[in-house]
Amino acid sequence: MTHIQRILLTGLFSILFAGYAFGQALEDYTKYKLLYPKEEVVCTVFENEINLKLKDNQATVQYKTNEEFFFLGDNNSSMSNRSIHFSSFYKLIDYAAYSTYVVGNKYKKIPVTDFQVNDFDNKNIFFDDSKELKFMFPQINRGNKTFITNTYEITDAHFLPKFSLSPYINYVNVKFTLNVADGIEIAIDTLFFGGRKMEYQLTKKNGITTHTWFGPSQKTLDYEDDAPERNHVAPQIHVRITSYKSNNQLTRVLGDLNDLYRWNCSFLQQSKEDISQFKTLSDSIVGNEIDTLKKAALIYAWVQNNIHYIASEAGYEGHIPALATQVCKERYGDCKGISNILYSLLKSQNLDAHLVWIGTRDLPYRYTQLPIPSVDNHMITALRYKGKFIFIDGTASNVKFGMPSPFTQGKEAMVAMDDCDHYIIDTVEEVKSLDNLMYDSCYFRLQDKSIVGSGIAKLYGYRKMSFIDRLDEKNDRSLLNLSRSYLLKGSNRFIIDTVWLENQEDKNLPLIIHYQFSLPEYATKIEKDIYLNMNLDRTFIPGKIDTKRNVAIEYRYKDAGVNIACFELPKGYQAAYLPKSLKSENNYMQITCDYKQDKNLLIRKQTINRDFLLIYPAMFISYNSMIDTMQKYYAEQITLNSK
Amino acid sequence: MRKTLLFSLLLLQFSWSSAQFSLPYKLGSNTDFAKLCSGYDLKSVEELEVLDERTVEYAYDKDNNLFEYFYIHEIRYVNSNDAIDRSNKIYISLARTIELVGYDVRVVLANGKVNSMGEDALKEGTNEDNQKVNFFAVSGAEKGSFIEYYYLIKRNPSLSGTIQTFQANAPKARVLFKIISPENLFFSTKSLNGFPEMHEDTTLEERNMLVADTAMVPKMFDESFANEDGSKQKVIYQLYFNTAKGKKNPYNYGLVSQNIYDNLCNNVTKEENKAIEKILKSANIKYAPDEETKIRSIEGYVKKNFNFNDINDSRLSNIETIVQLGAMNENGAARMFCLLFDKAGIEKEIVVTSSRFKTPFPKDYESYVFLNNFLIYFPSINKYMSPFSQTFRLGLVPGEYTENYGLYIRKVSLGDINTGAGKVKFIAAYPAATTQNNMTVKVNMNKDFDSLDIDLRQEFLGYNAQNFQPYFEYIDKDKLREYEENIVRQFQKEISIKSIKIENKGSDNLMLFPLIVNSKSSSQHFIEKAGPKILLKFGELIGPQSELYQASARILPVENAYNRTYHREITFTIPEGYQVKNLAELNMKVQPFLGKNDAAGFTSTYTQEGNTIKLLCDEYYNVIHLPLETYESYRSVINAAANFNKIVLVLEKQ
Repeated sequence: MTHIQRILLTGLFSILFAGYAFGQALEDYTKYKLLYPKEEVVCTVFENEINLKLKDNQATVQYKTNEEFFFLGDNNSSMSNRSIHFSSFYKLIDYAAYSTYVVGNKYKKIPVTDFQVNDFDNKNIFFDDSKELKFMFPQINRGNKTFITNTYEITDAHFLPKFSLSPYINYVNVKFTLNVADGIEIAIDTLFFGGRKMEYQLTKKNGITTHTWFGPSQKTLDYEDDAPERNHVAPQIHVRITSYKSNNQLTRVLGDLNDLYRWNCSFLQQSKEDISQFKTLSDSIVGNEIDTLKKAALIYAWVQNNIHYIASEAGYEGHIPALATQVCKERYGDCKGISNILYSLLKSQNLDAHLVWIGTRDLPYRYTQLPIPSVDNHMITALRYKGKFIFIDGTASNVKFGMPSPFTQGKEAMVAMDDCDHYIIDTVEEVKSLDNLMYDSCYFRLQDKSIVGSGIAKLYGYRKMSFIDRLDEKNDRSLLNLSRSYLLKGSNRFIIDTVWLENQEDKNLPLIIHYQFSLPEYATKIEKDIYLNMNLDRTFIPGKIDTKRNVAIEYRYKDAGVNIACFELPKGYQAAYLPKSLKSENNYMQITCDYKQDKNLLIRKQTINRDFLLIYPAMFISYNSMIDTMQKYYAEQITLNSK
Repeated sequence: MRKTLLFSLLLLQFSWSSAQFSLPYKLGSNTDFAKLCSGYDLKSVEELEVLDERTVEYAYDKDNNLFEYFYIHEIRYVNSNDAIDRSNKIYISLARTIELVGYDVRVVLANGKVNSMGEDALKEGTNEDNQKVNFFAVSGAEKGSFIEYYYLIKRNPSLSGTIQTFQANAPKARVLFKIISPENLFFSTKSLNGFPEMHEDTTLEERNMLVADTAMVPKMFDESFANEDGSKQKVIYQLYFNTAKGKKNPYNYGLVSQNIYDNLCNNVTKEENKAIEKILKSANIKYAPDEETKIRSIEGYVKKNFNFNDINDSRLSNIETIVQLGAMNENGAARMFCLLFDKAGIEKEIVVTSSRFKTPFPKDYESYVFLNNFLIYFPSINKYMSPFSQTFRLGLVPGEYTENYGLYIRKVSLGDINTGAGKVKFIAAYPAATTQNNMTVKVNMNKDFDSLDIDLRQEFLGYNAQNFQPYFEYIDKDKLREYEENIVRQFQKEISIKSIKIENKGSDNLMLFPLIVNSKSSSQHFIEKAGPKILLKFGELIGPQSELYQASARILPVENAYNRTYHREITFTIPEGYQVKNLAELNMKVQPFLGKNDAAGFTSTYTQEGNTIKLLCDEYYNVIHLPLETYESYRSVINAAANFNKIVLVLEKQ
């Protein structure tokens, strides 16, 4: 039916069903089951080896991996379809995969013979050269094993792989080997090992220094939603070549941050253009504006509105920004291309703009700690104004000028200066919760037991960004559904009757949502009494966190809320009972709530401030106790009775 | 480097000059597309497909080999950044493709300036299904632009049935579809869901042409309780007659029934036979008291001991290699079960159908495009099984295959030869009683009047049981408790669970015994206070309900995945010294279809004995399809249950 591109490794696996491999299947099973009674699978062998040599006055890198999994349970279908990744920097030289299954008390081997090449589906990258070989492991039942071995040639000595363990897996035998030929100098950085211990050995033989780390490694974490990316929790060893000496000539690779910057900067040199050619365009964008920040904001908005993000990262294209002229003509670019057009337009107005490398929040590394290419994965632009950098991300199309993109908050940035010898490391600030405020004020009255009312909501900063990001279709139905999810009051009976937006286009003003709403049959009326819960926003109280969870929860941004509800008392009624005020706080979250009566109006005001990007397990109890307080408080209704 | 490779492969000897085409395949010289959009106010439109033009042309080459040329020409109007983002990557599927014959892409800006991309637009890759794809990265589009492209591919002809779907997420101003074929080839077509019938057009000499030309195809919206894909405007077409040879309507269900029967039940090799015997022995049916038990044992053994892998690998459909690899695909599963049931002497029919949530199987138009999924029907017990659905068991098949037609193939013996004979018959949906969700809830208030003690019995049958019952076998052991708690929390998230006892876990019990979950818990969630009065959120004791409160003009008729019922029994003891004045609210009756087909309804009634209140509540959905006119009645039932959720009882001191 379909044309499937296949690579058949005829040479490697000429014998389809090879003979028996000797082993003690039952003994293995009993041993591992005893060690890991609750696990479905354990990694029995995990070996990585990096070989650094000198050849033709160059440092060469060979990388070998070897893994063996043992299945202790029957639910292994997720381990059946696997793949081997490679790219133009990681050339796959040799690979093999096979399973063994048990016959009697012996293992019988079945090699994988059918590998299919597929471009690696790297979600956000439209066009790159990462590839994968997909294959299926046969016979992955209880007692059976799977094996994969790969050998790579790494074509650029800057891109050494890291040795890394998953905290979500039990390993029986781990072995990391680093072989370094004389003449090559290296540095080793170890991260996130915590209390985990591995044996280490250093030997030297025949001009090769060998570092070996080995031992078992226990699973320490469970998979959970909204957890920080694996790099934040995985024990890892980073190796870098600082320099090598060949024919008495010393070549620096990644000795320090200056080397990394020079290497990064060399890519920028390849996309330099005459800035003056952007002057006509930038003049037309800024018009008569003379204020520096306003000019920059206009240019940023133009790029956000006109240049679309399409990533293209084949080979060194992943490092060299596309020419700004090309991006401008094509109206699309990846992060580097978009940063480059933004930089060029700002520069052409004589603004103090700079290109910036940065790691997104997925990466836990700091330049000042780890001067290697994998410290970053993104490029943005910075404007220096009154001695301070304002970070601008052209790929974030709904962020206002002056705010960084949410996924770069708190990260170290490497700001390029005009030559390849100077750079500045600065930190992108975390946007304050109050800058991401949602203010929602509504006025309502009763019609029999139903509520009808109107309101106005103002969304600032990332709150506006999120709303606009999600409003991807501009029709009434989408607007109604999205607004309802932001404004939901009382219960899911909440109906928005009309809604319209203000400041949707102007990225620098808060979004204003005007709405009229109804909430049928909301109040309880018994004889002369009316009961009504004025905590209309209680639908947004999050649930408690399971305290058994041992991984932090990550949030996109800090935020704050102000909710005001004004209730016009029905004629002939008076408030018989109003709940007391609430004030509850800890060092990362504050909440207040007050009721007051002003003539025939009952006014409830709530403020909430969530001042965190991560909640760590140590905070779960205090967080839950705050949620508990809120839940109890929100269970209080007001009572009205007839005069 | 990639580019070089790309162009050497695809750039393209424009070989179409040698082919005998009937129409010019290239972009026209007129770029004033706004003229084509009459009836639309372009300033307020975010996205519009100005033209969706497709032509399938069948043609012979000079060696008399038949090929199919597929031409697609689209003009899209984009008037927002999101619309540009949706249209600036245009994927071309190259499934079956021999050659990309030609293509061009251009952007016409609001000011009329034309930006032609030509060869630079093309990029290459493979998608998730391992199919090679090419795509155009469209450059230079701004708000108010028209993106126009065409491409023409040459591919192996598909004659046995193809579906073209014309309705999508953007409205279309004009859709033009043509099927062109040599004089000797005649095609039959079926238009669905309001797409116009294709008519003959005789303007081409020495060729047959069928054409449909329509305006204003609306956008397809997401709606709850609806069948979006199954309701889209589309055309099915296939070869009806080759005057040079053969009979009319070659792709009927006669011959294919024989082929399917052969593929699944005949030509059993010695090795296959051996493997089948071995599996049958392991399935342990020797002492099974009846045929149904035999079927369940065989089904359970295979579904538990092999991996099911949905990939197109011929080794996974051959019994010998299935046993070696421990895995099978859908064809493999169908053959495996057919051979096992034959060997066990169990009478069966093969049923081939399609998902009604893609394109329902029509009663009166035969086409191979509907022969996608296998079921096995056992006439002696009048039950179906789904060979490739690992978590389903005899008596329950995925709802998408029911309330749908299917091709039933039964064995016909001519002397020693067995073959298959097919007939289209209806696969009825299961009645509502098959799929139940029942709860018995006993609640008491604690001493401080701020929490409820909850004694809960949940009972799941049919599709409701299928959601949970089999997965006890698939969940990691250290996640089992969490899984069980999540079932209990279907009732209410904010509870603290003290104990859980579960009966009838596992796929072996599915459709034999209900999954029963008994639990004890407490919760503050149900209690609110107003000064000295206690407000009990009694309505929430029936569990969370779906709702259709926010009204938008309904476009699609109602279509349910399956019929179902919900039964609730709630017992609550009013604390000593308290009274409840608004109990009458608990009586509800919404049965808008009563006296007709009783398609859906919600009722609740309470009784009081001393301090004990007992509530009986029933909700049922008896019909899969409901016409658009009755949507409001259906909505009133869905919302009745959600309204019940909001009932608050006020407890005050006597």
